[in-house]
Amino acid sequence: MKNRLEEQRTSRGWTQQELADRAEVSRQTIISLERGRYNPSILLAFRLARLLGTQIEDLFLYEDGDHD
Amino acid sequence: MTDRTSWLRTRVRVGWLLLACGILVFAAWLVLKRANPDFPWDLRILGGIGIGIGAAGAGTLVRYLPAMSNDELARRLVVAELDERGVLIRRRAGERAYWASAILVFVGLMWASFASKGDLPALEGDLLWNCLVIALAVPFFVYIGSVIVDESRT
Repeated sequence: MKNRLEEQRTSRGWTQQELADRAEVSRQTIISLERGRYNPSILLAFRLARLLGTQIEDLFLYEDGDHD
Repeated sequence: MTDRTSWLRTRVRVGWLLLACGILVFAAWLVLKRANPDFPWDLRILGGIGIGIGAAGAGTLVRYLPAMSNDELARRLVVAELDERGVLIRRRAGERAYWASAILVFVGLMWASFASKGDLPALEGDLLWNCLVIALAVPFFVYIGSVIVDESRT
């Protein structure tokens, strides 16, 4: 699933570690999310959206075929 | 009390409980050994189990107790253990290790069945020991390998 996590994070001037600390996940999880290699749980997706002051639909872009 | 503190306290309690159980079992071994040296089975297994349980408790305490008085360490520990991607990777590895273990036990059962009819060598002595080592080691390596692969892929 594509996402705008890196774009939203850098627009706030946060490092991956800062976002990870705020979201209470590991930095590796943020890296995997930004590379599109890991899809977050709905709870983490909401938490990230809230932290970045955006809507979940604007942060994570679901497309047909994003089954896994 | 925060969720983090509550989570840590539970682990520390489990650590103390395991340590206490380990000491009790070990003490029971010492008492039984002195009271009745002609026990029908080797009591050293009781001492070994006590040491194992106590070591698990001590390990748990070494890991979690320092975090009770160090907020930053507590935060890192909780993130490391509850990070959802890490939990998912460990869960997948656990499933794979379970199936490896189930297959090995199934093969062992089949072997024992055939051996009882004389179609295969009996599982005893060194052969039994080697089979048990394999049944213990293979799922462990499957677990470790799975974690390493998934860490690099996801």
